[in-house]
Amino acid sequence: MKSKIKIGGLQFFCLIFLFELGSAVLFGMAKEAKQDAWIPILLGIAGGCILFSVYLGLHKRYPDLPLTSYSQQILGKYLGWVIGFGYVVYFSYLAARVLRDFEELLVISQYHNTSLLTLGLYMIASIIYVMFKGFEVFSRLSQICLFLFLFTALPILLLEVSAQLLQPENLLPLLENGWSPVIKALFPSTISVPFGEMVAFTMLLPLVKDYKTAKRFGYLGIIVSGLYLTFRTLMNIAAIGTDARMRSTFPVLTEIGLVEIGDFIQRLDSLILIILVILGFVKIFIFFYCAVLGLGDLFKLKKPDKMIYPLGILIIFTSVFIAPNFNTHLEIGFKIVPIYLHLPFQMAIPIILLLVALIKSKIKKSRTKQPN
Amino acid sequence: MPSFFKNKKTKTQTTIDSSSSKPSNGKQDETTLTFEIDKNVQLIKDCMGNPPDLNVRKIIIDASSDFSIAMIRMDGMSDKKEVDFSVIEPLSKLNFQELREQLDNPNSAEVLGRLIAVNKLEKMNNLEKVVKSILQGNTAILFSHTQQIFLASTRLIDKRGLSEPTSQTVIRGPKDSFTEDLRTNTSLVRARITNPKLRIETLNAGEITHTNIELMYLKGIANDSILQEVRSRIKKIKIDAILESSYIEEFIQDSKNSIFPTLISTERPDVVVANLLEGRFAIFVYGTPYVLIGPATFIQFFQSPEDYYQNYYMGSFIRILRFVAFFIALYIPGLYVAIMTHHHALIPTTLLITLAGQREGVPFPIVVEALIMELVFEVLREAGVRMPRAVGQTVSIVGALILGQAAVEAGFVSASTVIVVSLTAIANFTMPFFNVAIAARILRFFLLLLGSFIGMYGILLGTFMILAHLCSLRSFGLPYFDPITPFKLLEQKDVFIRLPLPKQRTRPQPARPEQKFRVKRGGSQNET
Repeated sequence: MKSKIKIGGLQFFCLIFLFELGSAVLFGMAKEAKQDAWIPILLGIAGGCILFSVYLGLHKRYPDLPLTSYSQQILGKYLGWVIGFGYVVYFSYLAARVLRDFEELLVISQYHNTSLLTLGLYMIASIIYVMFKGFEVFSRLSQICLFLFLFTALPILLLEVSAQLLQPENLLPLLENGWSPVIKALFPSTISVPFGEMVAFTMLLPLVKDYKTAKRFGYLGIIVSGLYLTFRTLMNIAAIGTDARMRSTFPVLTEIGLVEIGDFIQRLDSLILIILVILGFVKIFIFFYCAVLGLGDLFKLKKPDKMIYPLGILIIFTSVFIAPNFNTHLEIGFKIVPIYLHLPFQMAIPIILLLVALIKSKIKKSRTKQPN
Repeated sequence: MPSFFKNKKTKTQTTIDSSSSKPSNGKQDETTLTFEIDKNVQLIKDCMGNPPDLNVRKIIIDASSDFSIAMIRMDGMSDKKEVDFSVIEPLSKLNFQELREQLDNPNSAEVLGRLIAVNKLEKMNNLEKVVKSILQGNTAILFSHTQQIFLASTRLIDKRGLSEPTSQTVIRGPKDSFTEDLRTNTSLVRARITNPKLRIETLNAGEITHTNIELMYLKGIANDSILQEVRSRIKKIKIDAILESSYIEEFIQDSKNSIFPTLISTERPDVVVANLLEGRFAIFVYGTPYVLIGPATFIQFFQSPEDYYQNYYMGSFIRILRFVAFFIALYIPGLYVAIMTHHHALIPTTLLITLAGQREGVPFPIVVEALIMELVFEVLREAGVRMPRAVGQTVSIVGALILGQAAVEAGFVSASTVIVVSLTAIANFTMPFFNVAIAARILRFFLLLLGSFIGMYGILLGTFMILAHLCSLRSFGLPYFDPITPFKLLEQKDVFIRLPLPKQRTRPQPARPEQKFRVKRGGSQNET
């Protein structure tokens, strides 16, 4: 939480990659598009890049400030503050949502009799420990997490291939119902859920070494993670088919659960939990941290660390009380959140902010020109 | 001194403290040397409390003019033979008339040096310094009618000879190790680096013990700013005694309460040499065979010197094996408990049946079983270190047979737990440096408990915490986890695998050496 933190390109890339994968791998994306689910993801990369260019445009104008600060500079003290606070709530809410996703995942897959609260408590406790070590430590940790991810994901991929699970014909016919389901899946859900969530990085961009690094590795991160997600979805559809994918809550678990080689290598779905928990850890951490940063910034706290404990406890309880059961939680997540939360916070507000900033700077320029 | 006894200090004037605090003006008379030899001898004796090992010898050279010589030395600290032959014998035969005139000359030490055949002869007239010098093993030579006292270096302390390293052994490689004597230790390194760039600086610590500490580095290779930092940190040490290099380690390490060591301690001269060449510094402390090396990285604790002495395939293989062993030592009990308690589904059915069959009739939950066995093993290990050699066999029989086999047969613990615990124990001994094994020993319990509470999920979160801790550690301001994070591709040549030495042309960068290349590109071996 010191202002001196500077994150290098590779670490920034790792953060984005793991962050983007987060819950997208977990839930399987663009289920509406059936066997063409990979197309909206591929197109989503472009949407993600456009959104990121908006965030970068804002960052370029205010290189040392997080979103909560420059919203006040652009829209005035009061409106900007309210919007900044809205973002803090949004980030905390998303942290709680992602936490709930992973709590439910753990309950469904392994810990049938464990309470959500307990699972959330362990996650938040370890996140708090890491957060007190600072963001620099976390970004280094994310680098190791990427290695851990690769070391677990690659063998599982190999096993999946050698278990002869993949049936490419599942992917056909291409564009069975034309482009409309693809477009429907693309907007708003696919663009907002992994790609638009990059809005959290508006809080973190000031911590990156320089603008050039942020730009280069930011786009690289989005593209690589998008391609990985496309690949993952292709594999997923090829392995379990569209029907099973539609019905399954966690298609990736279903997919890996099918791997069975020679009666000995089986039940790999417990192993894939390792990957999922890594991804969840990174994602929850980033949302949580953005909320802490935002609070520290809005209330001009000298030590934002103080907000970690209260906010952490708040996130644990929110995650449990956010929805009475998993189905409601999913329904809120797929129907309400994208339209009422993601659309304004990820797209509308940043674009408005950028436009206002552009107009303001134009007016300033013309004013300074007039006297001459 | 801490402020706690500030008030009492004025009443009881301590002789021990005299060197650190200069005598005040009021007590000048008691501590200044006089022109009378007997008084001076008495002063020195009083200063030390007339101990039985203080050897005072007086020779009257000329009774008529009352010219006599006295020699004071500590018995057992100084070389008796050298004093006899090089000091007493020439002095007793000298022409005292000539000498008497010379004594007060400024260069009298050099004149006297013609007679006294010792390494070094110094002239002092400060009681404090004289006493300190005598305590170091030098012989004080006092003459009548002068304030000057000459000190001949006759230090000789019984020390053991070089022996094989006891805790860091290798199959192929040098078999000598450091001893308790500082000079022997530095000479072992100097003999390996015959280069004037090898520099040694003397530092002091320990308010009471005045322990000699020497900082060794290669000038032009070691990073100057790090050296500056080390010097200032050692100077800041406030402690009464330094008995082992770990005392210094605790004071100068960056993170005072980390479970992982951030300085290497070794008893092998070749390890010191290799590290000096990578731009690190070494701290030698009198009285211990363990030399500190810093700044350290986590990876270094897995690098045994033998990795470089064996074929590089073998070196890399063993290096990786060591990482696996560290993983086993840290994780296996935790994973075992986690899987047996929470994730039965992960175990193939046949194996699960075997394991369940073994546990039949065991009264405890598996975590209690594992904790008991781990504790028993820790007790056995501690007993193995402390016990008298003569009863060694008894203890091992009791430990192995009674506690191991009988406990399984009696049904207190299952055989699989015994296997897991012993595997962990053996794996722990593969670490080339003992102090990183200790970290694994303690963190194992942390992971064991997490695993029993919440299974693999808990172990994974525990891993995040451990990794975050490792990432946050710094050794003299340099990242401890370098070069894994921040990741540097070119630095991976000596991390998990060891490339052949001809390929390792650059020095590893974690210690930020001033010279990047080991040898200049032209091929010349030594630079001038």
